[in-house]
Amino acid sequence: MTNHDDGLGPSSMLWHFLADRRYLFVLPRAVCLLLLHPGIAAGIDEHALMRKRIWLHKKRTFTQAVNYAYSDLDMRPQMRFSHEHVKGVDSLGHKYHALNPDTFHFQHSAYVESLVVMVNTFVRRLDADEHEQLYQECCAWYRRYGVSTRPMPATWPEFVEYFEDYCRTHLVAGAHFEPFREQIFAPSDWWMRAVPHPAIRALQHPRAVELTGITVSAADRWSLRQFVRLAQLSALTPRHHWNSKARAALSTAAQHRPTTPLGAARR
Amino acid sequence: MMFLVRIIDALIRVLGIRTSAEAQPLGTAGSRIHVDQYTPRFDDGPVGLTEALDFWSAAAAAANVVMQLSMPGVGHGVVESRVESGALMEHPWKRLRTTAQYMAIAVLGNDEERAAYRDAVNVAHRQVRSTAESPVQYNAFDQDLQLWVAACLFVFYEDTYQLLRGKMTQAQAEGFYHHAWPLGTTLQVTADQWPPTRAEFDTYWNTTCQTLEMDEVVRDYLMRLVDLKMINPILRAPLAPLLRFLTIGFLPPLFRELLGVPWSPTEQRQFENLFLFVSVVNRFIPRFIRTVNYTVLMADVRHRIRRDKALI
Repeated sequence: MTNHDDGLGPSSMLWHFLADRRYLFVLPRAVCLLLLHPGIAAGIDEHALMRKRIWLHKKRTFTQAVNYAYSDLDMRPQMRFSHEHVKGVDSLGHKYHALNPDTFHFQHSAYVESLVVMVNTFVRRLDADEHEQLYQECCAWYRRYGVSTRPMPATWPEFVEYFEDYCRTHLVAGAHFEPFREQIFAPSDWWMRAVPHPAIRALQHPRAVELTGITVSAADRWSLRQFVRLAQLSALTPRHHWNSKARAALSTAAQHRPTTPLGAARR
Repeated sequence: MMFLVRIIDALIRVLGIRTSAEAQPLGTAGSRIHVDQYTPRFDDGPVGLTEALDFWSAAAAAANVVMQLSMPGVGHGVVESRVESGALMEHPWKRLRTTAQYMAIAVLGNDEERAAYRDAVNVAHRQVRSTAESPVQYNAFDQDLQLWVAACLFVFYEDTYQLLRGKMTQAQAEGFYHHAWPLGTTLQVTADQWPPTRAEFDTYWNTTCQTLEMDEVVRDYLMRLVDLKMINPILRAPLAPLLRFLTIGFLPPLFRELLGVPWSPTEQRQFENLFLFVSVVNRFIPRFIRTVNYTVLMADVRHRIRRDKALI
């Protein structure tokens, strides 16, 4: 049993934004970038149980990754156990391994970038200090995975530079992406299926737009703006905090009780 | 709900249906439940495991979980599991569905459906391994641990079937036992791991029972399950006392000791009378109603496989 002392808790920004359902609406941005990475696409295509329903796969795995930010337990062995068999050769003939620190960190950074985009688009504009604070909290989240932090940039501006550079040099269009195309732009599962398809196009990263060959029109951006306004109502609906661990942790914090470890009684 | 149990007990005592106690069979005393009087058997023909699919048997589900988790490797594997999507305490109804579905598939499914379920379970099991901090070493792919769980599932069917339909003859028990093998072989248990005969199964069961242990961590976890701490309080209030009664009733004495729960002769009488009553009622219920839960589970799993949806 570990009690982390890394600043993640009810007073961190990360705890509130990660649990926000609107984050799920932005995930097609992150996952599109991930599937343009030949190694990551091959890993999912060859090893994932739900390879044909990418959002059901993400519902299981991404939920678990988010749990890491709220858990008091040492989750590092689980990350290793669930990834160590994921290896092979990708469509370009390169070897890949899911626990390769560079590939692994890119997965995380795509989620971080989408989180920041979500907050800026759906919640409020963050200033430079807030960007830095949120980024540092995301670094604390990453350290809980137990994978080498060598590729992790130290500050937010360096991260932006790293991320854009990585997308430019490592992502390619090709056969590895095509099986997932329809599900990215027209999700059929989980909360992303509530997002209008034009808004999903408008949410894409510029590099993803370039590689997938989609066009983002003014109407798509208008759709996104309308959806952003509609999505504010999410906070009024049940399960606005979509992740059950996050819900439990936040409600425990609200009642001023110490956080319970994962799996402990919470009612 | 418990008042129904007491009414049925009073009714059967007034009618004076029960006869005197039989001699307890040697060997399995303590490691298997003992019932003085089973409902009379109507037939001597061969019995398959499909006959044992009956919605009343859900009454023994929690007791069976207790028995499975009494083996330290299984107990700590479940309690320490970091797999959230199937965690009993996090998603109790989902876990009920997936466990029941596994059992339905093992008995009723074809090879393709079994393979699909095995693949899905393997993904979760791959993450269940002991770490340096675990008090015992375990791995969810350990075939000995899996055999124990499968043995518990067989005991589940045998106990509930005999309570509802009467005691099987030796030949029937043998056939029934062999039908139960897919409960283990659907995962990593191999056919030659199962004790070859029903009598040898008793030996395996009793020997293994000597090695069982339960520490505070597992006991707390199981007591939270028995008291239904993980479900909605509105449902919990009527269900928890009944589940507790049924669970302790379905636990062999050895497991009651491990769990540290009391059980009185009065409760034993109420338990036996309840199942005498239920077994009579059950004979008048058409089969398609008694097995409706399995029909729904199988339809659901086939739908999920067809649509590439998540099985677990």
